[in-house]
Amino acid sequence: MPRDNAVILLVEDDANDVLLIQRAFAKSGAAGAIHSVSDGDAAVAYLQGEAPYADRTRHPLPNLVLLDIKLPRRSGLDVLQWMRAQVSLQRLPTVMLTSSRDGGDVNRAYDLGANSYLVKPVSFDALQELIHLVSRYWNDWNEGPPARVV
Amino acid sequence: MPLRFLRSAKSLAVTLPLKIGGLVLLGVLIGAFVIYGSVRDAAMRQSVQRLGDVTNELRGMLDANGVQNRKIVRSVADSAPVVAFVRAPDAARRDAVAKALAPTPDVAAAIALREIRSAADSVLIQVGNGRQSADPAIDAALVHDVVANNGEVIGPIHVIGDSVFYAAAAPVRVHGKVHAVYIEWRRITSTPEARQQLNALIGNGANLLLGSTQGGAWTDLERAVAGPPVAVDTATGPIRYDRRETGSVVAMARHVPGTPWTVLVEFSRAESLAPATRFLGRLGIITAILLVVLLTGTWMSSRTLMRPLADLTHAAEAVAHGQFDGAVSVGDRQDEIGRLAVAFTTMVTHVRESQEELERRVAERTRELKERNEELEAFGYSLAHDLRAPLRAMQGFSQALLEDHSSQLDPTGRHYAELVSEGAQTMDRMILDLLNYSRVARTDLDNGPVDLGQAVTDATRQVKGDLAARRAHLTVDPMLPGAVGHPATLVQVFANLIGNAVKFVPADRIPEVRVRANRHNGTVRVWVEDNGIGIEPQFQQKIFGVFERLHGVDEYAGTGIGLAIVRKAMEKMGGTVGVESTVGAGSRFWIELPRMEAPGAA
Repeated sequence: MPRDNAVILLVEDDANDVLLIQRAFAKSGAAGAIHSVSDGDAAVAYLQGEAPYADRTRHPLPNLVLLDIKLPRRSGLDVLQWMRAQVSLQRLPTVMLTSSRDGGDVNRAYDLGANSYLVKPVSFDALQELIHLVSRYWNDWNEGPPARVV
Repeated sequence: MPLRFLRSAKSLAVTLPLKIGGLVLLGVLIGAFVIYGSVRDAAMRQSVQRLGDVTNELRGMLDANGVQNRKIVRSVADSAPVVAFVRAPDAARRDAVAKALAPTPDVAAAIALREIRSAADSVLIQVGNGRQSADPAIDAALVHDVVANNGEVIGPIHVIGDSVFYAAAAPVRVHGKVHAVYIEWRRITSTPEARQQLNALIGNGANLLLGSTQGGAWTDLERAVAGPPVAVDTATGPIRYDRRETGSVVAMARHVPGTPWTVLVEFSRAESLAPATRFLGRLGIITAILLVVLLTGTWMSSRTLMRPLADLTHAAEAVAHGQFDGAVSVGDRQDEIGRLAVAFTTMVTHVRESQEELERRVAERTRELKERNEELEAFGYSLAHDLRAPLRAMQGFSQALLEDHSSQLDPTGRHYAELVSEGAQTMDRMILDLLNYSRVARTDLDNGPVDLGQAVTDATRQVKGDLAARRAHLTVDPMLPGAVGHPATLVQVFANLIGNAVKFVPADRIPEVRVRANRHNGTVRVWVEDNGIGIEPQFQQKIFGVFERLHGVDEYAGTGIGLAIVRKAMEKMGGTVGVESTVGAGSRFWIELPRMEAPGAA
């Protein structure tokens, strides 16, 4: 029942993780694409449609953001806070995907408006299952906020 | 408040006045004794002096009286009717003599008998009615003495019944030769006026006695009285003896010249010493007043002395108990106590400042240590998470190699890729366990009532997979009591213990796991028993250490941290953990927790 091809923005600085998540997404057989940026500032630029992400045909606005916390330049929590302050992004489903289990990080993420908080497993099988479930849940089953008329 | 000083008999406030009072009392007593002695001596001296004076005066009076008496009897003996009668005692002369000798009314009371006796002691004539008062022996002696001396003689005191008499005799001479003796017996009487005069002379408490020098009767000039119990004739100074009726007396005796009489004046010693006694009484009152004043004064001054000392003592005791906030105030004193209080307050201030400085430093160090510890924990925690990223890469890409490029690898290559994947996963489990242990170790648990049955049920759910895989039999005592602990942590403890109980059973044996509890004094001990391989005695403590394993991973999987978590969790809950085991037959792990007192409250 996919309404659309999933467009996921993955904010992740670890190239290995990007590769593994891309692979897990591919192996899960979900339709759509994962776009990735490797730091907080790039994530903000992407979401605002600034250069080098101004071309929305090549860099479409995502309907799900997978956000790491530990990021260069601007942390995932800062990015989240910025997003929730933007009228056009304040309801964009955002799932934290991080290696931190720190209670403070978890609470802060939820306080700032994260929709979910996931910890990256080491096992690829587990990762694949996780990515599969996330894309299925958020893309196929979850009712996202209606598109805003600009 | 001052009374609290008296609570302890050892307090200086009590002992000091007592000691000072005792010393002063001793001094006063010694002084009083000395003064009383001298006062007594003076009183006695004065008494003896007066005694001598009185005695001498009385002797003088009696002497004058005797001279007078002799003069009287001589004039009678020399009178014409007497001489004429003696020369020729005819009837006419006898009548004349009798008439002349008849006492006139003014002396009738004093004159008992007048008689003229011959030199041979025969009665020539007797005039008067007191014939019975005359003593023949005395008469004879008087006649003899008069004849022998050719002069007047006074006789001894003579007592008949209550009447006291004496005789005065004079020679009746005819041509210078003694022909007869005139004897006049006189009754000793004294009028009340005379006695009063005498008393005035000798004073109260004094006793005048008149007696014969050669022993015999004594009189107090009114009647016969008992003589002194000692011989007084030879005594010249004061003599002392006891009288039955008046007690101890001091007396002085004097011979009355021209008579065989002795005058004796007795003073009651008590009377003599009355001034000294009065003085002693007054001294006693003065001493008592002095003592009261002194004790009060000493007590008051020791109070003013003791109050600051007691305050200091209390302050020092407070300091000894670790309270440094009490300043000692003894007012504006410049003496040793004032200086002591100032020094003490200064010392306490120093101690308090040092203490506060020390506490401040300890608090600072503690805070620093806590910060460092938190930093270290955060560092270790984030490091552990960061370590997982490369593991993920190792595992993920080795798996990708196996899945996507399997055809390009020979069996050995594939095996190696599998080993890389497994190694990464093992390390990941270790890191997760370590994080788990670290979380248990650094979290402060809020202990509360725990339903042990519920905790075991929850734990069983966690290890459901392991139980099912081994087809294990789990028996749980349905009546597990309530305990005090941390529910989630206890669930993990039971999960680890039950997981181990299932795991360490030989593959060919069906695991039998039993959970039961018994109660000790105020504690609950829960046993998790298995029929597994058991643990050798020397390893029964070691297994609770971090990453301690007794078997290879191939034999029994695991990281070796489960029991370390159990022990740390029990420590955090104020409980204990232990094991009893028989190699080959099974192990019995136990945990012990404080019991919930109210049943069913858990």
